[in-house]
Parts: sequence; structure tokens; C-alpha cells
Amino acid sequence: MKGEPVSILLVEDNIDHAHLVMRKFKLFKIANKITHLEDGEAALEYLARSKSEHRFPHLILLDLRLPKIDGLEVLREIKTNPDLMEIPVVILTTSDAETDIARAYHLHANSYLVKPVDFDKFTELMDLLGFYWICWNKNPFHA
Amino acid sequence: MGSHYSGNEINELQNEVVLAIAQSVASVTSLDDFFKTVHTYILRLLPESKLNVFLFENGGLHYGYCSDIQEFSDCTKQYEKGICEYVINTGKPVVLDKAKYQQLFYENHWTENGIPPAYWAGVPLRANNADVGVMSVFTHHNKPELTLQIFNIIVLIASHIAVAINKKSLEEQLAQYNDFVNSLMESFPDLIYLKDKESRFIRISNAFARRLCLNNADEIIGKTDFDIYNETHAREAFEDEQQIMRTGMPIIGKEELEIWPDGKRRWSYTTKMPWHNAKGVTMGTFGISTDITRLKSIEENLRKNQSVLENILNAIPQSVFWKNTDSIYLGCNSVFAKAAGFDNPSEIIGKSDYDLPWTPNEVETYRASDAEIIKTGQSLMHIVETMQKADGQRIWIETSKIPLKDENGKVYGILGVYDDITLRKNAEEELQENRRKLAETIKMLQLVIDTIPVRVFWKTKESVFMGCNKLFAADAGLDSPEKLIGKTDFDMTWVEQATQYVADDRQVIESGIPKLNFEERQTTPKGDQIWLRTSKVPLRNLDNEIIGVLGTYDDITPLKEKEEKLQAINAELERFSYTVSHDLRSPLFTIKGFIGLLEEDIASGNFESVHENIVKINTAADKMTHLLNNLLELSRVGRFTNPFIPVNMDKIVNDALESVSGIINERKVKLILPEKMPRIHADPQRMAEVWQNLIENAVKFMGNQSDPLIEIGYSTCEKEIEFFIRDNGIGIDPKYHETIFGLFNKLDNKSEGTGFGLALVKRIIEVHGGTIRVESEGRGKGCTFKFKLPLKKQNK
Repeated sequence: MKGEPVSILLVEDNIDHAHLVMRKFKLFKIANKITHLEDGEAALEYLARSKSEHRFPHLILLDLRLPKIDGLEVLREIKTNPDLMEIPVVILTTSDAETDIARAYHLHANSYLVKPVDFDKFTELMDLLGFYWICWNKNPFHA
Repeated sequence: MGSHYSGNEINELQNEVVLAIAQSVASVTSLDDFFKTVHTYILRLLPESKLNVFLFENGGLHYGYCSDIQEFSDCTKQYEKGICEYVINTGKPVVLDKAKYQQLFYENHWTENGIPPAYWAGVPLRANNADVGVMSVFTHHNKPELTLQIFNIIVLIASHIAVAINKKSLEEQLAQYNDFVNSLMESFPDLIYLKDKESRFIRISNAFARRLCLNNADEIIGKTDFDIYNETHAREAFEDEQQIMRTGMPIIGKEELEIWPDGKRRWSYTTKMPWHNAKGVTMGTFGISTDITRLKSIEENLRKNQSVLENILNAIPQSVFWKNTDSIYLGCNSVFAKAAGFDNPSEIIGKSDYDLPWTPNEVETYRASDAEIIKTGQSLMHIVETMQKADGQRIWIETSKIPLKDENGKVYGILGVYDDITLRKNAEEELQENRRKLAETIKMLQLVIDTIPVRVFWKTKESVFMGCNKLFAADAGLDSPEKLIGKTDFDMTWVEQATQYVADDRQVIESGIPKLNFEERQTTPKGDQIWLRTSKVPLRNLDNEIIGVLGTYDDITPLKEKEEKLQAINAELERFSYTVSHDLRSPLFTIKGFIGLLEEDIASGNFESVHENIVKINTAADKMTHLLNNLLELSRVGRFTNPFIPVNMDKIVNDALESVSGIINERKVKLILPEKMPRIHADPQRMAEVWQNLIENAVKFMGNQSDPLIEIGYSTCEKEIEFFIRDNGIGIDPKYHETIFGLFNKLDNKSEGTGFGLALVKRIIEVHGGTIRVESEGRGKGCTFKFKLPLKKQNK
């Protein structure tokens, strides 16, 4: 691990859900910095800013059902933008609809995770997620 | 010259004259010369006398000799006629002196010719007991006197003259006869011969001689048939001739085939007769033979022709017969004879139809047509009738009968010909039967294509309509299928789709592969677009050549509508399940999550967040309840609908405005409303919900607008009415114009509501058969919601 703090962008319209996710990440002390945004528009604006500041998030956790700009639309924007397409995007959503999964992968989502209703499983998932994407996974611009 | 003779002298003179005249008579050639000679002798008896001789024939004077006249004329005949007749009528020689002569002329009013004579002696000339003329000797001198002795000599001379005349006449007749016989023998084309009793030729005609290749007819004289013909023929001829002479009976018209020295075979027609002389003594035979070779050849040809005709008659398959006017058979050919039960056509002669194997009905039919032909003289052609033959077989025949007419046009019989048409008749009946079956099949097919609920049409290779069923005609706006024939798709109301239709036809016709069950649109005569499920197959003739295309289609518009509805329902269902999977799970996740946190905190003895977390759990549970209620509400919209009744839109809109009157008054919202809204057919409660939501939204999203405005209005067109509600609030980005109607879609997370209102509005409008959309130029530009409702009464 480098000295550079790991930054995660969490795009989640449900404040309660965001709270739970951030709580888990903080609990495991995985991320130094989690940025939580509540809608797709805000997320894209944030990413545009990161580009100008050359501070891209290490990981984007993206919910699908977002106000203003839908999660899939945000995904498309990221994966078709040459500056952003390399950022791992993990879909984290309550929907396990096949169409959502298919669409997400079609738009080059790096992973698709369904929020487990069971709290223990959620805790375990967040644990694994953190380790996998932040500790193990190699990232082109933060390598 | 002495004028007087003594008795002896007279006697001597008389003898000399009579002898000389007798000698002249024997050698007389010309009467004129003869009488001139006679006159010279008379002048010796009676010097200076004159001699007249007149000969009569058939009561007319035909010859006259006058010694003192050079030319004997009609005038002279006239002068002498009376006196000559007088002598002939008297019948005796007469001597007249001048006085008597004059008296006779006077009494009989005869015209005198010159000076009357001193003496006139007339002697009738008699030959063969007939008066042939008068000889007269007269003198104008008194001396020498005409003595009785001289008169007797004159009478004697006259008798010699009569003999001479008679002889002359006979010789002339003989000469004529000879001429006749000669010319007959020389020129007559027939062969004529004269034979003696021993059958030796005496004379033959020149034609005969030429036939015998003789230079001269005389060469045959003395020869017999044995010198000319073969033994058999010569013997037969000889015996014939001997028989003729023995019996005196001629052989008339014997036809013989003769072989002549020139090698030719000739047919002759010969008549042979006995030759008797004047006294009835048999002198031999004579005969005339005519060459009838040509006639024979004609006859032969005729016979041959007749035989050819007979052969033809017997060879042709038709039956031929002929009858007289009593319907009695005069003949027939062998086919007819066989049918009638005879071996030989001649057996039919004399029979009537009653004698033949026909049934009684047939006999009457045949005889009736015979009678009609005889009556009218007109032919009867192509009578189709039956005939029971001798073998018991019943056949169909086609008879033609024509009247036989003589040169005067009188009917003397009937010629009939018939054909056995049984096979044809059977074939005709079979054909008739086939036609009937075909007609039945066609009728049934027509019934089928007019009855089945499928549209059927067929076109030529050029996509020209050849026919269709009634349903298709009705689809095309035509009152009968016949009116379609000759038209193309470009003539129809579906001209818009014609190019595609014709292209499909081409594809099927060119590939020969059917194009089955494809869906396409069609513009109906009313201008509606309907959906068809069409199949097109190549239309082939009996030779399997493609001659066009056969098409069938179903109007699947209702099906298509249901399908579309089903698709909409499916989409809705998907949306619903999505909602269930996401939006309902979302509060559940929250609840479980915070319970988890609670447990962790309690386990770790951290109680400071407990209350906060329980509040969150409660809120999430409430949210979930709310969501479930909304979902239930939404599902009710589609499933439970109040009956549509006329709805007073003014009242509904006013009630809705009333419910938000507080905020309207507070924000000083300017309201623009139409004077009077139309009544529509709708579920009043649902329609109230529509307006409630839309008005609430307009109020809710006014933003910071300092002069808020809400305008409500409507416009109508033929089929539908469109209501609108316009505000000048925050507006909506065009990219959300679709999504805002989605269930639980919220543009602003912080805004109130659940994203349910517009979904409900859309659902209600759709249930009313209408549509809803939003117009907005973007954020801060306000927006206008517009919804259309159909004007026609919809009561589902």
C-alpha cells in the first residue's frame, strides 16, 4: 500500500444504505476516503472534476436506481469516456433483475453485487469487497 | 325433098324410121338429142312439120321438147298445157285440122301461141300404164297432107318414144340407186357386206375394206370369212348365215368380239339379213356391222365405275341405304346389310323397315322422317337416334337423309347415310358427367373460398388481380369479387403498401418458394391501418408452370392489438417486478442493516446510536408500507374501474385547486382557467386523482418563481380532447420527459413524494384510452403536461 489514500466513490441515493456501506468500510478501515453522492448527475460532475484534478477514485460503487441520471446511464458515461473507462465500477444494488445484470455487464460493469438483505452476509460482502478491490486488485493509474 | 311417097315407099320409110328410132331408143343418152333425131325422121315423112314433146310428172310439166324453139320456157309450157291435158284426158291419139284446132282453143279459152297449124296430131305417151306426156306433130302447110298412114307411123313412133322415156326413167332411177348404194358403200362408216349363198363376199363397204387392210374393196370378192377370221369365228358366222337363208329370219343386233387382221380387238354390233331378189329368190345374205368398241369401253367404264362405287359404298364405315317413296328399300351397302342382318346387300331390296330388326319405335321414327322428306323435298341432316341391330345390340346413330329427285325435281326416293356414334355419344355423356363434376367442384370451391374466414386472392405473374373471395372484395371496398379482376395493388386503397406487396409477389413467382405467415400492414378503404398475416404461394398451371401467385391473409389487427396490449402488460409486469426487487428490497435492506448495526452496537455496549437507528428502521418500515399501498393502488387502477359517466371537469379541477388553495394563496399563484370545460366520459374518482396529482406537481415544483402561474385549458379535435396544465416552475430536462412517468422515479431525491404520482396519472389516462406527455424546454422554463382522451364513449 502506498502512502496515497485510497478513495472510493459511492453513488447511492438512499442515505440509509450509504450509511450502512460507509459504516462497514470504516469498520474494516479499508478506505481512507469515501465520497458519497446521491444522484447520477452529481456523480458525473464529480468525475469530471476528478479528471481536471487528476484524482480519480480507485473504485466506484454505483447503485442503479438513481435520481436525475440513472445508474446505468452513469455507467455508460464512465465506460465510454476514455479518461474514466479504466476505473473499476462495481454495481451495488438491491435489484437482482436479470435485465439489470445483463445491461450492466453490457455496459462493461466490472462487477455486479446485490446488497444482501441478511446483515451478516452484507458485512461479509463488504469485507471481501474491500479486500478484493482495494488490497488485491491492481489498478492502472494507482499501481 | 319429096313430099309425097308411094305406098311401098311409105312402108319402106316407115320400117326405116321405126327401126332407126328403135335403135336410138336403145342407145338414148339425152332426151333432147333423141327427140332431135326423132324429128329428123318425122321430117322425112312430113316435110316442114314440127315436133313438140311434153313430159309430165306428178301432174306437172317437167320436160318439153319444141323443135322450132331453142330454149324451152315456162311460157311455152303454159301455151301447150291445155292441149296436152286435152290429149291425155282423151286418152287416144288425135288429129286436128286448123278449124277444129282453133275451135278447141276458143272453147277452152286457151291462149294461142302464134299462127294456128294446118294440121295438128297429138299422141298420148304411155309407159307402164301411166300417161307420162304428150307428143305432138304439126304443120302450117296444107301439103303434103297428114294422111292416116303417116298418122299411124307417128303413133308408132310415139309408142317407141314412150318406151325410150320409160327406159330413160328407169335408167335414171337405177343410176340414182347405184349412186346411193355406191356412196353408202364408199362413205358409210359401218361395215356392210353382201354375200352369196355360199357366204362368199360379193361386195363390201370401203370401211370394211379399210378394216381388212385392203387397197380395194373388190379384192374381197369371192373370199369367205374363213379367209379373214379365225376358224371359230368364221364357222360361227357361216352357220349364222346359212341359218338366215334357211329360215329367212334375220339375226339382229348380235354383239361380237372380233380380232382383226390389224391385230385389234373390236366389239361389233351386227345385223344380218337374208338377201332376196325381186322375185323372192334367196340370193345370199347381207349385213351391217357397227364398231361399238367405244360404246363397249364406255359401258365397261360404267360397269367399272359402278363397281368402284360399290366398292366404296361397301368400304366406308358409314351405312348407306336408299328407298323408294313407299319407304321400300332399293339398296344398301354391306355395312347397312350387316346391321340389318343380311349377308348380301341385295337381300335388302324390296324389304321395308318393318321387316328389319329395328324396334317398333325406331321403325316409326325412321318412316316418319322418310315421310317428311318425301312431303317437303328437303333433306333431314344429323338426326340422332337409336338403332337395334340384328345382333341385338342397341347403338346410337346419326342419320342424314336426302331426297332423290328426277330431272323434273320430283322426289322418287330417299338416300340415307348413318354413322354409328355410340362411342361418341358415350364420350359425350362422359364429358357431360365430367363437366357436371367440374362445375360441382368449382361451386364447392367457390363456397369454400367464400365461406372460410380467410381472405383469398390470386394474381397474374404481372401482379394483376385475377380473382378473390368475397371477404377480400369487402376488404378492398368492392361489392363483388368480379370488380377486382384486372386491377393491381396500385389501384387499391393500400397503394401505400403496393410496392412491397408486388415485390413479395415477384419474390414468390421468381423463386417458386412460398412465403408463409408474414405480417404486414394494409390501409383499408376507411383509411385505417390494419395488420395482416399473409401467405403467398406460387400459382401453377397443369404443366406446373408458374402463372401467378395465390395469396391468403387473416386480419390479425385484433390479435396484434392484444399482442401490443400484452406487451404493454408484460412491460408493466416487468416494471412491477423490478419495483418489487429493488424498491421494496431497499427499505428491507435498510431495516435489516440497521438492526444489524443495532446488534453490533448493543454487543459492543455502544448505545448512543440506538434511538437513531430505531427511528431509521421505523421510517424504512413506513416507507415500505407506503410503497406497498401505492403498488396496491396502482394495480387497482387497471383492475377495478368505476363505470364511466359524464364527468364535469370544471368541478373536478376546482376541487383539486381547492385542496391546494393554501399554498396557492400563499405563493400568490396566478390561475388561468377556461370559462367552461367540456364534460367527458370517465371514471370521476380517477379523473379527480389525475388533476389532483398534476395540480399538486405544478404547485410543488414552482421553485423560486416570483410570479408563479398555472394555466389549465383544453383543445378538441375530431376524435379526441386534449387537456393541459402549464406552469412556469422549475421545468424538466427533456431527457427525463419519458422517465418521469416511471414508477418511483423521482427527479429530486429531496423532493416530496415517492415517484408514484405521475405513474398513477399515466396509468389512469391509459385506462381511459388516452395518452399523456410532458413538454418543457428545460430546467427553469416551466412545463406543460398534456393528456388526450378519446371523445368516443369508452366503457370497459
